[in-house]
This record gives sequence, structure tokens and C-alpha cells, in this order.
Amino acid sequence: MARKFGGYQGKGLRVNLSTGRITVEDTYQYLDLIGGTGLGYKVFWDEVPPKTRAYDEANKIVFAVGPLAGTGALCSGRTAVTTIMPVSWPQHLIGSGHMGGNFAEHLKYAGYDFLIIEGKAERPVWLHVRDGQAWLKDASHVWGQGTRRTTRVISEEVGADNTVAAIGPAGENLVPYSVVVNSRAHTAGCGIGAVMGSKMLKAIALQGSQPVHIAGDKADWEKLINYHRTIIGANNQHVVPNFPSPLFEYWDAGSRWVGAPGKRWGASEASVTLTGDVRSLNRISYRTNNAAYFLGDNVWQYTVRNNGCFSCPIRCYTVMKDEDTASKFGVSPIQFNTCVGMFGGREWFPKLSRKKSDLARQAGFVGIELMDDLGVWENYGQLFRDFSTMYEDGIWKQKLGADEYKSIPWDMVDACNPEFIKTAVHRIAYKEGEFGQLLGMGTGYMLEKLGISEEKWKDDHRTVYWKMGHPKHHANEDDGQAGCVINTQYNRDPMCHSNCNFVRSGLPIEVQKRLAEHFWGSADAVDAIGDYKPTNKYKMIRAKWSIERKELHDMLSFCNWMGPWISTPNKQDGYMGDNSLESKYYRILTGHNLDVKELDRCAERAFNLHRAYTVRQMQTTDMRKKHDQYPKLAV
Amino acid sequence: MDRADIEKSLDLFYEVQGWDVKTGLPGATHYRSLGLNDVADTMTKEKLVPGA
Repeated sequence: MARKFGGYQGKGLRVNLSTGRITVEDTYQYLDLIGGTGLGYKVFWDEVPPKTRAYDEANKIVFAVGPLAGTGALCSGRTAVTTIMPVSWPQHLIGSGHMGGNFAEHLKYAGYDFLIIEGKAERPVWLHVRDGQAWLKDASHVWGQGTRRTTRVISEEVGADNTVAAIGPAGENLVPYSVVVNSRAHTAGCGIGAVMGSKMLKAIALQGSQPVHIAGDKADWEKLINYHRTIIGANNQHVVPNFPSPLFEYWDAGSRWVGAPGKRWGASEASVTLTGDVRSLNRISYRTNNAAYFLGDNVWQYTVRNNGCFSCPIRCYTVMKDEDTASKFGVSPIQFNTCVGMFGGREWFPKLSRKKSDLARQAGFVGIELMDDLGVWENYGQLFRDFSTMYEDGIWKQKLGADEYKSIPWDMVDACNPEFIKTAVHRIAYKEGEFGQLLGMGTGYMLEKLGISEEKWKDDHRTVYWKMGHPKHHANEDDGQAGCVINTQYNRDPMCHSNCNFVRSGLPIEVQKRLAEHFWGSADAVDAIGDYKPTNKYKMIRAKWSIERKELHDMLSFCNWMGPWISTPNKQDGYMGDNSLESKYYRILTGHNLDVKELDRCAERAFNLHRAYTVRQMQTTDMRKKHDQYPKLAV
Repeated sequence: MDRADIEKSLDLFYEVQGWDVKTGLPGATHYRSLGLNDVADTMTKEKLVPGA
């Protein structure tokens, strides 16, 4: 298996846990699907019977990266993990989780582009991959441990220069709402933890020093990366600041570019004060502070620095240090995460929901450790909304036995006491009582067991529930008809940011319309948020493009939370971004000469393969009525 | 937006995808156009394409 193209290592591993056999396979058989999700879908199409359920021995887990992983390409730290998910309702269906952190580049440095995990081990094992060799090892000493201790113990065994991805008790106990976690806080959800648990695979440790080759001219490669730095914004490609600035024509209160001059990372050993040059390309990581954005300005004094994935200048994970909260609630004094993973703790408390306050910050802080260490998934916040809706409506009191109901410290919920999070997450991870089992089994299955119709959840604005067990994720509220249609297409929340990164960039609608005309053929391809005009073909051309770029990013190892880079912070360029950045990277890196259209065609191929496999699983000839649904509240 | 508007959006989306508007199914010809010949064969054999 000679290396034919740059970027790729040219080989992957097939690990059969039933037999213990580990074999090497060629990457290039998957070349027309690039890597990542495309490679995962293809493995399922070729090898896994569509009637397979999540915990069947026949189910597989495909960890796959793309050619960009392990290179210096910006925002290229993503790993796609594809499996048949235990959380899609009413049947288990194909889907992917996507994790950043340090797994992607370490898989490359260990010598591989993908891992196909199949079969079931008889006892707990972990997989060690190092410099072209792989071993299955006994995991009995870490089985039962949280992800953080597991990571530490395995790291001590193999040496520091590694990445461990591990499951916690939730995965071991086959809790559908479970994740696999690498680098302490980077997770892939949708029940992947439980699928690993069903196979008795506790962890994967990657290490090595295999080079990733660049096929093209190295100067061109460096020039491209430097160009990319000039068009990047803050997290979610927000390209204007959150505050008025003489350096910018526009600003927007919804922007995640919150690093204003004078803000301080107050918990650094020598505190860092942000300078006046907020556009400096050497200070890109100062632009974002997602903890302050979501939990309030007070977080700045607890901020140590920003953290994030390999080769990403954005650093969307805020590292916080709070020894008082740590000692009060018995968690580590350093926590970091982003978005719902970071603020989710406050959402256990209806009175704190969406609030920015010190108590919300403390709840978020405690929530990070409990969820990540025990390996529990929150389904884009659906877990918290299910809990709160049932609490507010008295459903817990009706449905739980009297003894169990009494055993739950509801007074802590009313008092917004973060101690409650420990009780709740622990019960979920260990399937304790009806409470723990119900919350962890996935929303669709929980409603079914409780005799509550899915329609009731769809019709309740508090739940944000969409269909098939999952919530909406940047749907009608962000992007009108395009967002709505994108949310009909997957078997979980769509995890698509191609569209919302554009419409939420912070640029005014007249600029967005000018860009839309350039990229999708008509200014009518986009409306101002909340002011949606009747639908048209161009909105759907943009919806199709958004899905394909989401897939393409998951195939290349680009981060779809940051790209595509359709708008920029640069007034001098009319804020015009670059629709061909992905193909520019791909061609120089691999030497495989695919242009924009050809690369998008690869993504379309992958998306249609996902569609076909889903059709086979559902055995339906009416996807429109049976699958592509949306709640009444979407209109 | 109203329900008719979203339904029309789905019509248009399926059209730009090259899928069957009534069912939302990709057809065998569409799969083949993407180089997914084995998918076209399997979906046709299993009657999971439009009009099967």
C-alpha cells in the first residue's frame, strides 16, 4: 500500500474485537468519498446489514479522518465517528458523531487514516495504536472508571505524547445518551459511547511520529494557510465584533467575537490583557471567549486562556479556573468546554435557563466535569429540556414511584444548587431508578415508555424537539426555509453549520444578499433572520450546498463549526469569502486535482449514500412523509 | 412561513437534489450519475426507488 497521494497515510486498520484480529486495509478504495463520514457511510453500505441494531455484534464503529488531519491546515482537527445510533427513534439508524481535540492528528501520526471497529470482545479491552502497530490490551483496571482517570491511567502506561479517547460509566452501562471523549472534553455523541460499551471497548490510545506528506509546493501550502488566516473570523465564523470598534464598519450583539480591548484573562498566572489590535492575525485566539459569551462577563475573571483542537487558531474552548466552586462541589479547579457542553449545567435549573449569572457559571462549571467524566450526552441540550419540561409539568411526580420521587432532591432544583447535577448525571450514567433510565434512553424512547405522544413534545415550544428523537439545531429560527429543510434530512440533529455561519456572521442583510448573489445566483437565497419571504429555488440551492459542505468538511477533517468561509472580516474585499478554499487545500495537499465542483460532487455522493442506507434501514418508499418531517412550531 | 411554504420548499429541495418530488427518494439514474452504481442496483432490486 504505497502512498499515492499527499495527506493520506494510505492505510487504515480493521479491528475485530470478537477474534482479536487486526488487519491493515487500503485507504484509496474510498478515495471517491474522501474520508471521514463518507468513508464511514461506505463501510456501512458495503458491510453492515441495514436491519442491524446499535448493540448487535454486527454493528460497527468507523473512526475516520480526512487528508487535512495532522497538517497545518487551519481548523482541521476533526474526527468523524459513524455507527448505527441507539438514540434515533423509533428505530436505530445510521449517523455520525464528530469530535475535535487531538484524536485526528494522532491517528495520522500513528500511521492510519481510519479505524473500523467490529465484533464484540468477551472482556474489557482498549486499543493501542502506535507507529504502524496495534494491540488490544486488557482494560479491566480502567473499566468502571470515568473518562478522565481512564485517560490518565492509559497515558501513564504509554507515555505522554498520545491521545486517548475513552468512554465513561454511561457507555459501559449502555446508556444511549453517551459519548466517547478525547483530550478531556472533546466528545462524539449520539450513543457512540454505548456502542463502544456494547463491544467492551473502553478506550483507544493513539501515538506515533509518522509524517503527513504534502504533495504540492511547500511555499504554496504556507501561502494558502496564511491566506486562510486573513479570512477567518471568530467562533462560528462571526466576522464582526460583539462591540463597536473603530477598526470595523459593523458590529453585532450576537457575535461570538467578544475579545474587546481591555478584557483580561483574569485567572492566568500572569493575567493577560487583550490589546487594542483585535484584528491582529497573531491574536486570533483572543477573539473568542465562549464562556463569557454564554455565561456572562463575569467569566473573564475566571478565564485562564482558550483551548481547542489541533491546528485551530480560534480556540473555542474556554479554560476556566475556580478553586472555590471546585472545593464546594468536589470537582477539579480547571474545567474547559464550549457551547452546550460548557453552559449545559445551568440548564438543569429552569430558573437559570439561558441566564448569564455567577450561579449559571458555577452550574456550568460543575456540569462540565460530571457530563464529560461520566461520559453522558446531552443531545444538543434535549436532555435538560426533557428534564425541565417534565419537572415543570409535574410529570416526574406522576410517573416515578413515591419512594424514588422522594429520593430526588427537588429542593436543589428550585434553589439552583449545582449539587443537583451530581445526583442527576450519576443516576443517568449508572441507570439508577426510573429517573436515570428514562433520561438516558433517548427522548423518543423515553416518551414512548411514558405513554407521551411525540406530537405533544413537538407542539411544546419549551422542548425545542424536532423529530425522531432529536431537537432542532439551527433550523427555522436561524435560517427560515433553508434551516427547516436541512433539519429534516438527518437521523439526528443535522450538525450543519454551513448555513448558520453565513446568516449569523454579523454582517447586515444587504451585504449578505450581495454575497448570496455571488455564490448562489440570487440575492433571494437569503433573508434577514426572522423576516422570511416566500420560499424560492435559490434558498434550496443554498440548503443543498450547506449540506454538501457539512459533509465535505466531515470528510476532509475540516471543522464545520468554523467553515465554510463565505464571508470575511475584510471590508476592503467587500466581505467576500472563498468558496474554493476546501479544494485549494485538497489539491495542494494531495496532488489529486479535484476542483470545487468535483469535490462538492464527492460530498453529494456521500450524502446520497447516507440517504440510501437510511431508506434501506427504514424500508420506506416515502421518505417525504416518513422521514423528512418538521414540527408545526417550525412554521 | 406557513406549512404550504415549507412543503413548497421540500418540492424545490428535492428538485435541486435530483430526487423524486413526491416521495423524496433518489432514483436509480441519480445514484448512477454520482457513480453509485451498486447502490442503484441494490435499491432497484429492493424496490426502494421511485415508481418501484
